Amino acid sequence: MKRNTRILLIAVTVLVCLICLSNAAYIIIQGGGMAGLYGVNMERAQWNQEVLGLQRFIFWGWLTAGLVFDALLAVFMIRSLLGVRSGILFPKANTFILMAASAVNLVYNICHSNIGIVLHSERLFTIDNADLLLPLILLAFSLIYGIAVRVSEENQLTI
Amino acid sequence: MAIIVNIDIMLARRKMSSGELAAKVGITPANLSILKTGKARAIRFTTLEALCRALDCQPGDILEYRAESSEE
Repeated sequence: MKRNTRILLIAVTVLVCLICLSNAAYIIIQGGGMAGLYGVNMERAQWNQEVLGLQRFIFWGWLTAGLVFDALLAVFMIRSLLGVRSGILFPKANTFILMAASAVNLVYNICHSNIGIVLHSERLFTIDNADLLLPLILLAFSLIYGIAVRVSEENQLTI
Repeated sequence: MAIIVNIDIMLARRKMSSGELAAKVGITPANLSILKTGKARAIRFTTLEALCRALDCQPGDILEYRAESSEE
């Protein structure tokens, strides 16, 4: 691998990890504020008995899926970087990480789009095209990544 | 796999060690071991050529086809 590509990969990995960390911090702070744990200026959840189940699902789905998605992306980038260093360009476990990330991202996007149900007791549940697009692209990428893993393994056993 | 690699036989006939052959061919002993144990999925023509040159033999002396029975 070219030196410039390696430096670029390290820079992208650092950037992704920083964005994931800041996003995770934002989710924790915002989630705590919504739950009324601290801060009078934070927007709090308006729990409504009629849609409490849906509100809980959206709140916890948004919180956990957001954190898990950030963690998965950071792990994916770090594993890719370590793989390049050790000579394994396509680590097998990354395929499963990408598949899991696409599923988690679907939950996160749907919950994030409907966070108004928790914050303002809205009654409208929406699913946008954009909510589905990124998880589907991630899924397609994970399938292509799986093919790359097999080709890489085959290549390593070619003497 | 139906393709058998007979490097061990050729090495015994030539009284050559695996390490010596790996050095002559220009591959690592680990890769030569993969080849000898039949774990390799493919062999490059350049590697085959180097093996034939080092062992002074034909590709047919190194590689052999044995049909696998359906019971296996």
